[in-house]
Amino acid sequence: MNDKWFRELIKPLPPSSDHTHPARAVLQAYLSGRLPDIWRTGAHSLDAWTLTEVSQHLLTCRDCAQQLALMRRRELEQIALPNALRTHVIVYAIALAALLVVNAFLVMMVPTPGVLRPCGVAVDKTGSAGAGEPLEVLDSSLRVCTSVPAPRPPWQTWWVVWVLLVWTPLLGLHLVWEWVGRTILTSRRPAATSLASFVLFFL
Amino acid sequence: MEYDPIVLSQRIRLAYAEHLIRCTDLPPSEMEELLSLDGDLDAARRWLAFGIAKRRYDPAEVRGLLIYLFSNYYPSLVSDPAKGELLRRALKNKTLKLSELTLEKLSGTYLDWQDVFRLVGKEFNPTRVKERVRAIYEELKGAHHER
Repeated sequence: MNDKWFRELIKPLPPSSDHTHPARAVLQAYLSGRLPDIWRTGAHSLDAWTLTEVSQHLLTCRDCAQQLALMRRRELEQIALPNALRTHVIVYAIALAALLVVNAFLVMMVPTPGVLRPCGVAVDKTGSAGAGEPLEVLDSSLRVCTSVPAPRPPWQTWWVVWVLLVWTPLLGLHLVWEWVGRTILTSRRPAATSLASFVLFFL
Repeated sequence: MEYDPIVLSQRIRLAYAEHLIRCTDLPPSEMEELLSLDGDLDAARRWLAFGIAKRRYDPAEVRGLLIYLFSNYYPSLVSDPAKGELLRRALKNKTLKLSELTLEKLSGTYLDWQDVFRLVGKEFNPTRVKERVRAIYEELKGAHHER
């Protein structure tokens, strides 16, 4: 059905020249639904605004509407911040756990690098060829210079710890960045956008 | 406070619509004169049609239609993105009370029909409700001509 008939019905009220404005406490009561809801038209007393009076005042008074928009924004920030922080920390913890698994996999699968020992010379200590005299060894295997494992220190192998140390402050800075940019509270923003934002910040 | 009869009548009609949404409206018979203080009988009949439809049919459907209309067709005076966000959050958390809704809280929030259905607690055919309101309006108009 064509909505024109209904659209025509809803005519916005013209801007008001009313010099009486509801106090901040009244706006707070309006937001929390604590104003009286009675039928009244015409003049009102200064200290007793009704729900409809405040609603209509806000539809015609730009200053009060802006004040209320700010109050709503603060309310939303108070609600949204813990959720946003929790989501960021969870995503970060999952990413770190995934990296830990990759790190552990690489530690197990990649062979430990070896170092070549200098070729040794067997020394006869039994005295058959004279004490301290070099002994010619016929077994050729003893002459092959062997590669011995040289394990790296943990701070080189477990690089995920460095990721933790670098990412943690970066995550904190990213949160501050989003907080300043007021994007952290956009709850409808997809996770991919947030991740992309973090990667960009990381880069 | 405005005392211009046209603006005052417009305020009264919008107040009536708001009370229809909150279910604190007076009977249409008591509103007839008040809604046409400025002599605009056509506008008065249109709003009365909502009031009568609310009493004749399912009130939730008429309230839902009004919520949709004000949410989508009454512009917000200032940019207030938090308003829609808070409204949808309250809707999602089922903490939104119809008895606290106002035209200002709805204006510029662009709720879709699914939001409206959730808010009034039932699904309905909006076209049918609109047709019923229009039919009552035509009835009122016809009755006036017969007089």
